[in-house]
Amino acid sequence: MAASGILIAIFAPLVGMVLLALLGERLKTNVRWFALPFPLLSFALIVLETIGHSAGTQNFIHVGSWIPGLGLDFLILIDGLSLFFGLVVSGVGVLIFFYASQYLDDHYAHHDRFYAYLLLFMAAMLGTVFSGNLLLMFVWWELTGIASFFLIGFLHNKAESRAGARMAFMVTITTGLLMLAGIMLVSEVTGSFNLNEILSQPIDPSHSLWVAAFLLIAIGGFGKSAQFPFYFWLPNAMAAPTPVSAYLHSATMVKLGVFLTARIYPMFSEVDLWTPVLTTIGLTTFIIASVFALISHKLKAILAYSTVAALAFLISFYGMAPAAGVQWDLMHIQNHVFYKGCLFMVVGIVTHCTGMTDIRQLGGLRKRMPLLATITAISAASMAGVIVTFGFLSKDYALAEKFDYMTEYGSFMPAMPLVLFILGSILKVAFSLRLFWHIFMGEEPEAVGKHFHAPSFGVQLSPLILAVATVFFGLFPSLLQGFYEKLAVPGLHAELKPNSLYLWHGFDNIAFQLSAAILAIGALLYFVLDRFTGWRWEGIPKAIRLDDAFEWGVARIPKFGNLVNQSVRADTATAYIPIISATFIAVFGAYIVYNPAVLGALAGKWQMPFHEAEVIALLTATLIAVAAQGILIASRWTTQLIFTSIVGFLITFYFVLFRAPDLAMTQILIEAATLIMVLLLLARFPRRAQAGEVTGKAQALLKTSNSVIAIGVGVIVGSLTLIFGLAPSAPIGPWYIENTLEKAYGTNAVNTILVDFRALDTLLEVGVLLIAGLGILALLMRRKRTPAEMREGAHGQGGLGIDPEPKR
Amino acid sequence: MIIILPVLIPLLTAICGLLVQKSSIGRRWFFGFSAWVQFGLAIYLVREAWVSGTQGLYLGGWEAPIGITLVLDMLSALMVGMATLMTLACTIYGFYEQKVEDKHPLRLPLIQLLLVGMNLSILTGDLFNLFVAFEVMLLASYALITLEADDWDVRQAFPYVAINIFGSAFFLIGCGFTYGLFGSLNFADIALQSEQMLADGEGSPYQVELLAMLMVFVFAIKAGAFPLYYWLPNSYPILPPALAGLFSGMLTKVGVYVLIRWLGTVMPHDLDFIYNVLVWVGIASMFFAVLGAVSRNFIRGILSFHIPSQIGFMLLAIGFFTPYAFAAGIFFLLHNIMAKGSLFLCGGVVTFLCGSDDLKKTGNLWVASPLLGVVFFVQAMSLAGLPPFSGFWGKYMIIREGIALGEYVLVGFALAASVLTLFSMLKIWLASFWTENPDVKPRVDDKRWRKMTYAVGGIAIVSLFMGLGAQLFVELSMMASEHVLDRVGYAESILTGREFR
Repeated sequence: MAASGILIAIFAPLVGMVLLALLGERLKTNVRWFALPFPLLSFALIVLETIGHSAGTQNFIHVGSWIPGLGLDFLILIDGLSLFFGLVVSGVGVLIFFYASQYLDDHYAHHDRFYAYLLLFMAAMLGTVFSGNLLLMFVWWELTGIASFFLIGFLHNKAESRAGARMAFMVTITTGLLMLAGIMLVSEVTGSFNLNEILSQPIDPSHSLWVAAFLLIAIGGFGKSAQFPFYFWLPNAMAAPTPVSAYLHSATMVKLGVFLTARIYPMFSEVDLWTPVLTTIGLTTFIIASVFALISHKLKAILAYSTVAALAFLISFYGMAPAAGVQWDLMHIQNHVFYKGCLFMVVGIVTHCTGMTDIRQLGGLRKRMPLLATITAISAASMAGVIVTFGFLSKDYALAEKFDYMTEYGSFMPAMPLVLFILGSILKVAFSLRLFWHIFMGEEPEAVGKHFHAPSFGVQLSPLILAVATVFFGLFPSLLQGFYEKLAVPGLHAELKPNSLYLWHGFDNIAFQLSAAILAIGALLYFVLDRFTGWRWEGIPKAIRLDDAFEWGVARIPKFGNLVNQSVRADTATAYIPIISATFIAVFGAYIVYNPAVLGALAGKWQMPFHEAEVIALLTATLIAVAAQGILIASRWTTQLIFTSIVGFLITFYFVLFRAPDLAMTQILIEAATLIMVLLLLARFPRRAQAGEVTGKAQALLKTSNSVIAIGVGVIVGSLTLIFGLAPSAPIGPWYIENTLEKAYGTNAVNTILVDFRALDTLLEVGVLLIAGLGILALLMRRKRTPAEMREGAHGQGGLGIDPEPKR
Repeated sequence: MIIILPVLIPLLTAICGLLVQKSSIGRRWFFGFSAWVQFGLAIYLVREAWVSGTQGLYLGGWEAPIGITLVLDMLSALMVGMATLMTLACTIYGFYEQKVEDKHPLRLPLIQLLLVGMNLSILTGDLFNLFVAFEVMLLASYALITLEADDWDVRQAFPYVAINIFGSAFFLIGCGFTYGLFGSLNFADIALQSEQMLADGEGSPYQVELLAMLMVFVFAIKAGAFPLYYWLPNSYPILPPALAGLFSGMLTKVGVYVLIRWLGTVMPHDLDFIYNVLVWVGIASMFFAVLGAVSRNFIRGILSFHIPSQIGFMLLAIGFFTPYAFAAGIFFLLHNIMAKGSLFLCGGVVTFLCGSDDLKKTGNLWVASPLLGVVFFVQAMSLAGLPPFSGFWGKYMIIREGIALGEYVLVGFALAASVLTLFSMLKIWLASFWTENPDVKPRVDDKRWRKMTYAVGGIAIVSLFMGLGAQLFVELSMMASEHVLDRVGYAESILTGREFR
């Protein structure tokens, strides 16, 4: 039963997406009320599942084999982690769908598509978190990327939306591919993608493939969770409408990297690199992103960077987990979901009501939007970690943990996490304060009043709920103790001490003292900056913007491609045959020269004594070789053609020598006909056409190189002929001669082969003649261009029945 | 008997079509009906191969190796299925692309003749017959590529014709050498002879290796491997979309098919030098071609350059030369035929709607025609190899085999090429579908685009099924790989054991 609930929770949004995609257009803006039931349903089902979940267990439910040939089982994993993330995704989903229903107005076209994308995203997210098979997880994981691409690019008439969507997509897909490689390595080592089978195997954590697998999977997580050096896509993804930013880029999708880290913790936590990699990347990102959040001016950019910082903290948190297991990770995540989701929605409302996106253009809005000011104050305080909010608890516990880490290992390096965390937290306090202050306090600029229209209560409902929850759980955290105990995951979480989640730990507590100091210094930092700089810089300095670097690189890929294309001469039609021939010479020449056996065999063939009967053959061969040189030496087309014909006529001798008079006749006829027809054709060409496309020295050079290539091909083919020999030990040929009369009732074996033994060949060669005739007919029927049109180049596809600009 | 029908039906259809010269609705119905029948037949053949495995048909009753033998196994059945599917889709698409009276009367018969060549190339079990089949196929393609071209376009078609004739010369030389070495041209006979030759210590391994190389060289020109693909990306764009879909989807893949057949069934399995070269040629094709693709700024150009790039993945799979890698390559081949063909057809609809496929002159299509957008996006992501689309599973299998073999560098290259593929697909998507281009008014009022899109959508649905229900195709590919690599089984089921020497 458990599986069906979760399955419905995953697939209901998917069904919703299909329905909306098909019918949504007719519903116009009412589509929002048709979209809302799907997340509600999913949320309700996951809540029910959570209630029925027995603490500290992992249930793997094998729903079915999807592609057993590739190791892909539809295996659902229900444990604390997946339920927690399922609750977040569907719960925030409900709030966001409601928020969006109030937020999206007639300024936005295609509401149906918007909700369809959101539902697709939600299904993909739920699929990812409930996957018990790594490959299955990857499939859903990439699907979240696709859904995110459409959501970021929802306002696709804007260039920044398109660029942001492409950047996010490229970065997450590229890192996702590396993650796939890592997942494959895992299955290479363990023989399975199923987590239950992987975890039940003893694995040597220093196995080189296992370490590589960890690094590759970690990169996948870093990409999705916007960690250094991939963080740059997240601020650019803010081109999406605000509900998307609040949902994907703060509360859910970007947390996938964190989710992944927790998911792979039992597999990789004993790898030596686990702590160094996660901690270094996490804390580096934490500091960079906190600084960027402080110095950015765009509302959404501030929140985006603060999100990056929060994710970085979470990643480093798992990196430094003690051997016994992780504690309180879910609390930190929950805290971030509450305040960041709320702040994004607030910022969306502010922008919606004022039309401003830059924090420097705002101010004094507390009078116009008192409710929103209160909500923001609570959430910003939670972000800063002020007491009575949920954020205080999160920071308190994190500080305590980092302090324990330092005292446990007791030297310089282990102190770094604490120091960096304190530093980042100070910055966090500063930008939290700035966010609130610059929007709601101070003087109101004139421009704000002009465009202002008040937000409805409905649109403020979702952030209000989150803000209330922030305060409620900030005051009564012990209510959550049971919740977290229930959601403990074996192998990941350490056992929680009874009643260890409470608000007040006393003044003489190092964590509390540090926390208070951080608040004070952060506030001081803000006031100093506010006082002395006036925030006059232009955002983040251009020189260190990785997104600019990315766009710079992307813009040059086509040019680079063109350069490569030119340098391998893929666009130079006259070079094609020389290149193909040269390849032929290189490959076969190298094989022959570097293979002593072949060389020996070749030398052996040359030493064969010549019989008298072969004198004529030798003479013919010499003549052919001389005539062939004539083709190279002659410069006029007609002369070259005549030399070619001479070669052809001389070949007739071979047929005579091998006693095939009918073939000799055929050869003479063909040569004669070709010579006459081509000569007639060449006569129609202007003399200057013979000069070719290049002249002067280049032409001489070209001619030389082509001659060398031509001779080379001849030498190689000649050598091959010698190597193969033309006397198979047991040819099938004599059978035809012996049996032609008896079996095929013909005396001429060549004829019986043509019309009986291998009649299909002949039938189709006749067909070839027919097709050639049709082709010539078509060529004669073709449309001719005037000289002026000729110079215009490509006109577009032939035969389309449309002339783009007819008869230019 | 039934094995000859995929060759016979299109031949008869073409001849009947030629007898009725003028384009008319009735003539269209006739060709459409024939295409459906052929597709149905192909599915029956797949079932036949599934049930009874490898089987031969001796034409004229002349047993192998005396006469020409046609051979049906899982791989050839699947390929005939794809050839007929693509022909069907492109034929139907063509009906809406042009009004009856604008239609060139020779197009439909020539498509059927092309199909004769392709199906025979796939089914034949005889090297010289393969040459003839190639001639039919190529001649029909020469005629088609210049059919609706004007005289500027004809110049672009010239390299295509020239290089394929050049390649055919080498093919013929190779046929001669094969007879010189083995005294036979029958695939089964060659397989057996080469095995015996090595066992008896007769002949030298290098002879076989050189012969294999020569034919691989020829087939690589047809398939489009670096640096032999140059003729391709500049000549395919002059084709009308319906034909471009067929050419890009099916024609070059016949070269890959023959390569698989030659190395898997006909030649001995110890040609490590060739496999190593193929792997690196595959990587080079992947890379140089995808770089060519990103440098283009019109849809046909981008897609044309992707053909050799994707061929690179198949060459990589062939070069790994394990049963699993062959299955991977075959899966990828099947996927690519549909993905590539339908992307070209989508490009044709874009051209139809916007009047051009120059990325600067397109736009607004995601608003104007979301249906086309969905079809294009599904197939583009499939080409780029994103799950759960079919291209992902193909790439996944190839990469998985690479990892199992410890070829991490090659895997890295393949992943990087995938990223560039994605980039070039996004280039089309952003410019044609998402950009708001004030100069472009998609002519959605002309309802023909919908029907064209339905024709592409048909392939897209099969393709989507191949992605979501990959298990069936994985099993089919595995079986095909098993059939191809089972040289002894192949020889035994074709050769009757009677002595002809």
